[in-house]
Amino acid sequence: MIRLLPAKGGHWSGALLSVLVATVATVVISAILLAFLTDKPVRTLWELLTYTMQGGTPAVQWGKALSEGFYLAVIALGLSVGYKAGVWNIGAEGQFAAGAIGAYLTWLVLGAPVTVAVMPFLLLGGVLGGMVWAAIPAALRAHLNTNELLVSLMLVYVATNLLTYLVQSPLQGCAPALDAAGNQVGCIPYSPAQSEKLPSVLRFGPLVFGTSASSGASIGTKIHSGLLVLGGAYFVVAAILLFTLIGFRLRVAQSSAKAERFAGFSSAVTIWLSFMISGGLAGLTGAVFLMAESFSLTVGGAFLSNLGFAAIVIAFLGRLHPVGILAAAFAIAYINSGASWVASQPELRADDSVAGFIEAIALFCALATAALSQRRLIWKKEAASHG
Amino acid sequence: MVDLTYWLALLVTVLNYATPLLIAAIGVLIVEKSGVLNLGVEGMMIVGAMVGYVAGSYLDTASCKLMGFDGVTCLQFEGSLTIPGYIAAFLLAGVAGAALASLFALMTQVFNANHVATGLGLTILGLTLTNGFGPDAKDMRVESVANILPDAWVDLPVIGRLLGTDLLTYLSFAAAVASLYFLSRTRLGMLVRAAGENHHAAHAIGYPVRLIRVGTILFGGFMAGIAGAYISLVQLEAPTWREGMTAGAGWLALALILFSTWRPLRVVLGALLFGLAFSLELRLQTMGWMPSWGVQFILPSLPYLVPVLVLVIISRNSAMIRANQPGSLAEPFSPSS
Repeated sequence: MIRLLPAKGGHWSGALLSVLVATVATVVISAILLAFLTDKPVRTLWELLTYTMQGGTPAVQWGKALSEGFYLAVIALGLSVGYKAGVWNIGAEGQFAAGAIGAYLTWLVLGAPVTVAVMPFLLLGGVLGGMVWAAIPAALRAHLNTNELLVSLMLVYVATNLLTYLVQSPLQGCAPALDAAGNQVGCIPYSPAQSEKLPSVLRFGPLVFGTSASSGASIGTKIHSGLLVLGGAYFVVAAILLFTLIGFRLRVAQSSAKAERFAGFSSAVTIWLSFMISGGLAGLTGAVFLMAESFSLTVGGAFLSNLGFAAIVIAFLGRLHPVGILAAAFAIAYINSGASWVASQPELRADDSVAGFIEAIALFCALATAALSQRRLIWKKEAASHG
Repeated sequence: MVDLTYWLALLVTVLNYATPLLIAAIGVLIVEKSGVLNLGVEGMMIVGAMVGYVAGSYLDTASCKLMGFDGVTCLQFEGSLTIPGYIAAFLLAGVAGAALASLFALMTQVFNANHVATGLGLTILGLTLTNGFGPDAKDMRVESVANILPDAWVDLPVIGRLLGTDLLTYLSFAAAVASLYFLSRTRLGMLVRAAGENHHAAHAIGYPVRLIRVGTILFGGFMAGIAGAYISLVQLEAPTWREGMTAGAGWLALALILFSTWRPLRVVLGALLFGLAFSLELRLQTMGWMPSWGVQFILPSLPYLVPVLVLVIISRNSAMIRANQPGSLAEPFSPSS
């Protein structure tokens, strides 16, 4: 018979079992919920899971899931570093905004050049922007013992206000106003407020093209060159965490503060490292989002789409491991894109909150089964188990 | 000459913003005293805000009919909240908050899940729930909230506005004092503190640690739900529902507990301070001497910057925090281990 024995430090069989149980539970509970939320639960579920083959071309549909998956994965990877070491950065949403602001300001500071050569500087500006925003809770935690979880969260609201202020006052873009003779006589601010758009040479263009479902014309998918940047960053940071001394010291910090000190690592350094990695990655994602999707800064509520908060869920779903996070990010992004496809189909009458529900259900199932990964699955004959 | 009217008006605004923070924070205090860290306050509050609003808008004439009056008599109450409707709406909001909290209790007390992760998940779940059902509530209307005190008192010059504050404001201050009494003077309060201070010891002498914690978690959810309903039903000029309208109030309640270093009367002080940060935005906006970045960026951010500032000041004294922080805070506990 199959038995579960406690295994200190975890065991692969228990981890596998916990993922399996969580997945099955998520599917079952989601299906029950869909039955309540929609008129045609079976068809809704089918279209949600196969949305890439419904409407439009597969490339267009896949693009939605792929781009969102990369954003979520990169932010979540950064967050997981701190979470392992007990450093709670839950303000990635604000660092994402600060990254976009950093990239845009870098462009302005350089004199608003129109050349591809400045793109790396914009990305660097994004990383720095995110790091600066993350440095506030890091410094307060490391040197003044202030709760970093609450400070990082409070700064999300402050970053949202900063973004709104910037596009409504100093960075507000406007369209030229012409008099009857066609001469420019002034400038009408955009409404809703937004900054001037980045010139097209500074944008990450689509790598893959698909055909529009309605007109049949060739359109760019969301699979853009910025995803290569994010993929590269993910690969490098994941490799550092898995195979280098820095990654090891952060894992040591996770097991105990005493072991950490014994190994010659100070907790202040751990806090700073965690925040700089997570802030930098969230900032980079913000910069890529600006250069690939929004092109201009807009008011806080419109620019931010909760990627920074969803990434917290991804980090836990992926069990704080680089491989798990990648899998969780793409799975959730696929479900999100499928759910928004389903919500856009009037005959299904599904609510656009379906994705959020499935995300929450998956998180709770994953957390509830986490204890299983601390167990070991063994196969024993009935007689042997008595002996 | 002190302008009494001005200061009283400011005090009324401060109390208005402090009330939901105080109500939610008392819940958080009891929860944390039992050794549980529930970061889902924001989620439970937003659900309470929505349920309270929807209940309030349905209960306008329903409560009148339930009391046995006929439909024609009840028509005069349409769009305004009567006292039974007001009480029912708040109770329902509290129950909704407790229902969400029961999920947290199941996760942390039965499945031994991580408190921080589960709490964050609860907040995300609450925001999702209200995003889903929010739009349905938009075309409902509630026009006024019942006044508890006699009109003659509220019409008094100067002091009238202060007396006219919502009943819940009075109750929240009473609840703060009651929580002090509960934690320090009652047997049940001692049990709560024992469970929070050292769950192994409490379990060893036979106290039902998990049962106590489930109880406090549900209480915390109930209070958060009521606090949320205050925001949608009472805080603004007229009852309103908007997605995300709690705007971080649940997180501020958690910050309040850190500020208070788990002492009930300092929770009151903190709530007034945080309420002042909200009111300053409205007061200073109209003064005209501030540069545009001050008005558009710093002032709206004050409710979040002030808590950060006070947390920095408080946290420097780590001895004071250690003296009152529950020993087993946020540690998962299972009797078998």
